[in-house]
Amino acid sequence: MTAHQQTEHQQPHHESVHHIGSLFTYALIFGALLIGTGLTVWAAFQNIEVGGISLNAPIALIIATVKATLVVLYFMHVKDSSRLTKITVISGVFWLGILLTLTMTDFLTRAWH
Amino acid sequence: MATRTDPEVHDVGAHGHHAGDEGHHPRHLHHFDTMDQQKDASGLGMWVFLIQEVMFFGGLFCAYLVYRNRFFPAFGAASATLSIELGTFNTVVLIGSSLTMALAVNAAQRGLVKRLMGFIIATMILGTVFLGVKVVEYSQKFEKREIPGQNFCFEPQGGGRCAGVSEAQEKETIPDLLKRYMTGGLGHPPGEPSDSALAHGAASIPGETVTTPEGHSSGEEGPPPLPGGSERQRSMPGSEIYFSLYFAMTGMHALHMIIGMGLMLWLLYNAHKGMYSAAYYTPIENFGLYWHFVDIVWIYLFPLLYLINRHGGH
Amino acid sequence: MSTAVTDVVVTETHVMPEEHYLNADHSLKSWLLTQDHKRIAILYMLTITFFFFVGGIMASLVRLELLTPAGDLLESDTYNKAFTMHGVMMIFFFLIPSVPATLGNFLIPMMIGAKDLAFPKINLLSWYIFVVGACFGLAAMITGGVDTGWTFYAPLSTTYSNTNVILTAVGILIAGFASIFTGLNFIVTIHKMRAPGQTWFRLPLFVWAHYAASIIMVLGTPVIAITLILVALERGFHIGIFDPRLGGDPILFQHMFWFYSHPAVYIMILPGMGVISEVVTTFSHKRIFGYKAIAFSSVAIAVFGFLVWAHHMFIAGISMYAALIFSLISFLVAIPSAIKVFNWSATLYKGSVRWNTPMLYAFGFIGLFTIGGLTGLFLAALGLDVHLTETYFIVAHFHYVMVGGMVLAYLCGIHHWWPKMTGRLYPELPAKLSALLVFVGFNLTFMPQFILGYLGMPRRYHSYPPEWQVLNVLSTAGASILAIGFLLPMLYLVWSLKYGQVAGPNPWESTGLEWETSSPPPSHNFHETPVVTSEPYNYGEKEGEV
Ligand SMILES: [Cu+2]
Repeated sequence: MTAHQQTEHQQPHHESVHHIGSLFTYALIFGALLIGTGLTVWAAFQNIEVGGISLNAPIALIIATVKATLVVLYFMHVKDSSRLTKITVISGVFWLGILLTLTMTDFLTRAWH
Repeated sequence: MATRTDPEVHDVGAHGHHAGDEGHHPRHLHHFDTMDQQKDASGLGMWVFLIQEVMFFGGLFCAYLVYRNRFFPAFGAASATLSIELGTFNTVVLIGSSLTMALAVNAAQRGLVKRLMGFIIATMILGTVFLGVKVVEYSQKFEKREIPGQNFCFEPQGGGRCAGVSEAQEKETIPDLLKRYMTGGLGHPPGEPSDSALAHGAASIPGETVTTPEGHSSGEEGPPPLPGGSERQRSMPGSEIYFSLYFAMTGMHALHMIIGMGLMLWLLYNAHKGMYSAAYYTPIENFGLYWHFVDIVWIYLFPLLYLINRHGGH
Repeated sequence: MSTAVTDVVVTETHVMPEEHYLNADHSLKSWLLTQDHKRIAILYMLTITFFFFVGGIMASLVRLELLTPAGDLLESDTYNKAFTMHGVMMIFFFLIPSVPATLGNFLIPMMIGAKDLAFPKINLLSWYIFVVGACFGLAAMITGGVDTGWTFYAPLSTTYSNTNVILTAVGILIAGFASIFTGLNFIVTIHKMRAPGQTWFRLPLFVWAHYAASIIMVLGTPVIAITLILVALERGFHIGIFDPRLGGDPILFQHMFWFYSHPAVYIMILPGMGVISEVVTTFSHKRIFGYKAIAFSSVAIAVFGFLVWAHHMFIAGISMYAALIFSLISFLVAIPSAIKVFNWSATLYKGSVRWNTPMLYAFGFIGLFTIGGLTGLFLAALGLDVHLTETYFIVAHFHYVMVGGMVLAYLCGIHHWWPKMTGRLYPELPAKLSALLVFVGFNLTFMPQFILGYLGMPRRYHSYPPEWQVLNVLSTAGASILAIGFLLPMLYLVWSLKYGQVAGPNPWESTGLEWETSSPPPSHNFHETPVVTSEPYNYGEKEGEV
């Protein structure tokens, strides 16, 4: 038996139950990622400031995070995944946050800098 | 059991049943009760592996955050030497490869093996393009001596100090440079006597005495002098750290891509043998997760490395 | 049991099962290519025992040098290498894999009623990775050693030291991936491989403890991996990440190092706590007090353990505001550990306590770990730490946790499950003697070090003022007793493989799925997939769950 024969049988069944992302969704996400890339380059050349604080870096990071979230949710199918998968993803981000924020508590509050 | 009520369970359970009719699916391992349990376990394993990867890159991002804060002007100036065109092009290429990978998984889910192989090949081509551009970018850095280490030289204004060092060095090819770079403690730029370079370098750091050219002068006050030429000592403070991080981060990312390319060859071979079908495509799906992860790392690396202070603010 | 001090005595005569995982195939190949988690556990056990003795030899050198105030046995450089290799071998090649890779590997699938871990090939791969990493470590030692201390602080490791830093760092990095794969395997196994009816709150606490430790292995280890890569790159290619001459910050290295290395303490101790939870209930013949409190405290330790790392850096020059935060959270992390000690003690209350060797070790663990934990609070206190850190006080503190806690827990678990692993009982009398020797020898070794540290004796020097000699002689004497205590089990456990009494499936009358199958278990653990219908530790008394 070859792989092809097997799939012929199962395809309709799959189509109905499986979480197969539609090609349209993939194209949409791809488009959004391209727009995000353009946006991030464009934003980098603007001097965005509020009250003397430059917002360029936060904006770049927000765009990157939106892009990453799209990839995680749609390309990596986390949107349709189990709660356990979602918790796993969140815990990864959370632990990265621990590393970055607690390290910065030191570097940002040194009296002699 | 709570964890077995995953959404996947219901549908894949049907396959388990289907496969169970004529005995075992050929890919069903003995220690799993069902194919869906096996698939679930592999998927979770891959995700756990990926959060391990998040922390691995996390260490680099942590160092980046600390030094970007400390040396913002140098990071901005050094970042400006990177080509936005090449960076943007590569970002688009990598996003495109993520799309083709997603489509490959999609084809696998539908059991369309030909299409699956086509999209894997497309992903590999895009991956190769990305790495090729990276090679171009790296070699530009080598030529301009903007590589961390003894030959490091960086001038934001481009006064030509780093470009034409000496005739001997101009004649050096990239492999020569690489070789000199790799040989560690011995590499001074050709045509530049090491002792004078060191004396010059030490003079630029006040309060230090030079003892031996190797710099292993235990028992002396102060740190040993930096090995390398005088341009290294005079370079903008923090700029070498930027380039160290640039190479460490993009290098680790590229290493992941190279590993990914190897894995894709293996998947391609298995797909050709007919191993994957709509009932069994776990390796494709898990590799897809890996490839998307590599894409996500780049989504962050691009603005963090290429787009620092491009508008020329403070 | 009516008398005060009794043992479980196996009186029935049992016969060894005809087929089990040990006699399934005798060829060397069947061992080196095995995917059976039980055999991989045995492989790990042999490997880490070897490294325990390598580390032990280094410890002996250190203690012998410190017998006299003058630095007469070892040159200061050699002494630096001796304590560094002692630390590296013991921490990365013995303690980190000790309980998880041996007992955890052997028992987790059995405790949850599975045929194997989720990824048997990755399990075998992790052993090979570990061996490769360990070979790098050994090679570094044989070709000259390292002298940076096991902490590899920059810029000593990146610039000044002219010893085998890169080789050792690469060894640890590789072994780290073995640890990551073990943790990954455990997490997936515990989530996806449980037998029907084996719900989360029916899991033995040993499994909970390993789940928590696995979280740390997976999330902490990669950070030290990348940190060591950066150290190697900086040393090898003179790039600048931590180099202060280029504006780098050596304290960043310490942050990244301790981000892993503090939680790593819990990689070592949590599985040990899991062992103690099992042994205390078995030999009290009583349901554990506060099951959920112990289970959640394991997870709490895994999470809070990640928030306290900079308490190793109070004198390194970090921000005093950050130091305050880290000091405060360090106090908080003591709470879940204290919950466990309290619950084990409460389990003993009104239990029918039997004094077999595992229980002796468990008592030893509870006492010594408590001392180790409480002295940890001294060091978490910002003001006191400034005086006590980098003295023998801290050496004594972490040896109370690592040896008094973890090594005792390891020996405890090895004795407890020895009948399950080998089918035979260890001889009770020499085992009790060795437990006693370990306990006495340990306290004699390290109690004087608390005093030495309090008096101000700094760590990592090969000579010291003569007035400290008496306490140092006591410490070295204790170390000799400790060494005998560690060597004895080697002899009688090997002896028992052939001459020990046949144990039967459940010599300790314990609950738990692993005791329901034969000893040694068959290759696939159970002849039929078990179905779990009740909580663990169901010893038949009528207490409500706490
Ligand atoms: Cu700590």
